[in-house]
Formats: sequence, structure tokens, C-alpha cells
Amino acid sequence: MVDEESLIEAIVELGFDRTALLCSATPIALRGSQHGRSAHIVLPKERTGDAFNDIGFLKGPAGYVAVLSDDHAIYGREWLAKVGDRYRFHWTAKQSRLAEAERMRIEEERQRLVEAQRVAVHERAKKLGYVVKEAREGDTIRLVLVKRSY
Amino acid sequence: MLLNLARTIPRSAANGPGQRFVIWVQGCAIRCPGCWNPDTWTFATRQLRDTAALADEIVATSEIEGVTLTGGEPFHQARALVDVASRVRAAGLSVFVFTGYDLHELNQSDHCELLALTDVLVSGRYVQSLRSFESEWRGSTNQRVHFLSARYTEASMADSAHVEFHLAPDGELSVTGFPLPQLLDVVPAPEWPPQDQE
Repeated sequence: MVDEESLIEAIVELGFDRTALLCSATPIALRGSQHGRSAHIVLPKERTGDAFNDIGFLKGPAGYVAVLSDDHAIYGREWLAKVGDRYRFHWTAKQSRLAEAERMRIEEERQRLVEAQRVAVHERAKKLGYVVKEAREGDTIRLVLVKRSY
Repeated sequence: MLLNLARTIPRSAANGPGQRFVIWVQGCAIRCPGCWNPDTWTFATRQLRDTAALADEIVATSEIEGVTLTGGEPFHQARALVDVASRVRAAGLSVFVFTGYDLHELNQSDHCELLALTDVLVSGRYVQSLRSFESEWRGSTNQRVHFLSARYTEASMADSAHVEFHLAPDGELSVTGFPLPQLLDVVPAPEWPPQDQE
């Protein structure tokens, strides 16, 4: 798990209150049996039903690693497996959104280029005394230049 | 029968009278300096098309009155073009041919067969020093227009656009016809001298 946004979406989807999540660019110290360890994303113990231990996700070179107790009634290994599953779902959805945004950006750029070319031909032709007849030929625009006969 | 093509466009108003299907054949031994289509010089296979299928495509194209054969040099592939021309003529379409040869040079039997199916022939080398922007259908003033059938006359010359741009979906702009140089500022000039030629 490497993407913070997708990881948070997965945790929230599994029922954790988004507003209670602590996220930081620098690691935050964890409380309880994880004392001495820290994490970039923290689920505070007050919201996990555990009187002593925070749960965290520490970002490392290979992605986020969970810091939690194996025996937690809710936030244990089984929960972590679900987080992983939902993370993959949100990460895939995010990639699709980004791809669509990029596709739209390229399409807008293409349309701008075509329109700029079209306008350039019209302007140049008009200066030289041509009348431009424009027609569509499938995806192609035909610009037929004829001399004015008057 | 197969024809080696450079490209086709289904409808153009700048390559002869009226709206025409245009075929640029591949291969030209004449290679006039300053040619606008040097990419069509090489005789390497570019796009082989079955002549019957090509004729079917032309006949099925709406709102055209004929086909224009250009290139490259059409008379290098006269035999295959006779097959195309005879089929489109049978469907009532006209045939217009641009050649770099003078008419008297076209004396082989397949040349004569193609000429017999041609309504208008524009003949002669393109000569850069004689370049003209006023001569309808011709790039240089030495070239000649021959009306080989009664279908067209000199009056038909008025029924032709000077130049036509085709703007592809990816923004690529191509030009056909007889453009004034000032018009060409908006399109990239063809590579000159041509590279990768035989």
C-alpha cells in the first residue's frame, strides 16, 4: 500500500471516522504497547475500543506498514486484510479517474490544436481573397478554397 | 489485379472538375525537381489494393462525379488503372489523369487503353522555373490540358477549387491542389530533397 489517499478511503470505508484519523507528513508517536514506535497515519485508541494502544500505518520505502496488535478484537489481522482488499479497490478506482482525467486533457488539447489549425487556414485564405467552404468528411474537416468570382 | 497506392481521398474539389475521388499511385521515374509529392517517387510497395475492390469503393462514394488519377506517375501502372477506369466509367463516372509525360510519349498499348478511358488529361513535366499560380489544374505553364472526350470543356475549369486542406482528427493538416506559397505557411512543407528514395 503506497497511496495515502487510497489507504484512508479503505479505512474509512471499513467504518472508521474520517475526522478522527490523524495524518502527518512526519511520523507521530504511538501510545500503548507500541510505545517507541511511530506512524504517519494514526487511529487513536479512543476510537478503536482499545484502552491502551493506538493503531498506525508507517510509511516506508515499500509502502505503508501497519503497526497494530494481533489480538485486537476489531482492528487485528483480519481487519488489516480487509483494509488491503479495499485499498486495492480504491487504488484501482483512483488510477481509472486519473487516466480519464488525462484522456480528457489530451482530448481538449487535440480539439484546441484542430481549432487553431482551422482558424489559421480560414484567416490566411481570407487574406488572399479565397472563399472557404468547410465540410466534414468523417472525422476529417475539409476546407475547400475557391477564388471569389466577383 | 493489384495497384500500388500512396493514398486516396474520397472527395476532393481541387483535383479536376467537381467533387472527385482521388488516387495517388506510388512510384514515379520522372521525379521532377520541386515535385509536391516526392514521397510517391519510390516504387517500393506502399499499399497494394485490389483494383476491383478499389473501383467498388469509388463507385459507392456519394456525391462525386469522377475519379482523378495522380501520383506518382499513373502511366507506370496503366494496366491496373485501365481496370479501375473501365469500371468507374461503366458506372457513369468521369476519369481525370495527371501525368508527367507529354501526350506523344504515351504510346504503349496500355497507355493508349488508359487514354481511351480518360476524359481529361493534364500532361507534361513540372518545371519549377515555369511554376504558375494562375493556370487551372497545372503546376507549371508548360503543362497541357487535353479534353479527350466531350464530357468536359474549358468551361469546366471554372468548376474546380484551387486548393483544399484536410484537417485530420489529430490536427495534422494536409493540402492538395495548387496552393499559393503564402497559403503554405500554415502547413509543413514536404521534405526536400526527399529522403529514403530509391
